[in-house]
Amino acid sequence: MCKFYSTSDFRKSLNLLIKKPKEGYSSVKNDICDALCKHNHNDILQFYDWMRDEKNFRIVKLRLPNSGQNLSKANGFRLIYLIHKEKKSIILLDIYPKRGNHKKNSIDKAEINRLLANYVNEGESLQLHNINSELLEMVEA
Amino acid sequence: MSYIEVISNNISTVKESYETVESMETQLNKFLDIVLDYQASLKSLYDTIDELTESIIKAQNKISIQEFYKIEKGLVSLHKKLVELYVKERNDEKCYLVAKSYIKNLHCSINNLKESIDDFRIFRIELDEDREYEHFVNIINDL
Repeated sequence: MCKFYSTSDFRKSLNLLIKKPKEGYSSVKNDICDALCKHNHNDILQFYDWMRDEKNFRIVKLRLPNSGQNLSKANGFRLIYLIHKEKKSIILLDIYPKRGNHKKNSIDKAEINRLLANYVNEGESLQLHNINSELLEMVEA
Repeated sequence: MSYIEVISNNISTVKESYETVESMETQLNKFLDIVLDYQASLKSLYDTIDELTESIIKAQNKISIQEFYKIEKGLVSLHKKLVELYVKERNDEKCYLVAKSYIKNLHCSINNLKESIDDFRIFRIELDEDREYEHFVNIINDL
């Protein structure tokens, strides 16, 4: 069973998307959960649309549909996460849409570095989530 | 050829162009007053080029974005001075035409230098980003 954590950068991006339902991003939590909740660590390790494979982890960009707007994977969201190969934990780093007010075309090297810095700096204070329940924030047992 | 070599070559070209411009002194003898003014401007341009060369030499040991800003600032100043020269020489058509062709070459070599510095800066930024990425990779691999 995988554990899902998020950085403050991810939560900031997520909150921006769900803040105004009229902007058409309100399904984002469901879309993330649908893509990940039915799969085990090994499955998720194989998912990617783009990735950097390192010794003990991978950085992955995954295409997700926007079910609320009936948009395909190509026009939906991009989820950036880091998956540890041994520890079976996934760190959600960023989420952005490909369409609408908050659209972003791609993510560059400097931005990836900024997300990694955020992860490294937050260390023990990452937020644990329930992937089966709309990314509900949980307290580590 | 490395970026530093390209930049150094372009600096040599700029210097050669300046030397050509300086040789205008003989051709412009009858416009002595103008030439004297011109020489003063050239001296100032030489000083700027020397500063640029010094920055490049320093940059070979320790390259920082600040060095590039200094070089860019120098180039902007050069362009400004060249424009002043154009205006000055425009008073006399013969002198102006000779000056124009030399200064055009000078402009061209300065632009080449600027382009090679820009290329180098992009290369440096990418290198810095790669190093920064490797730094985080090492930390996360050890987590």
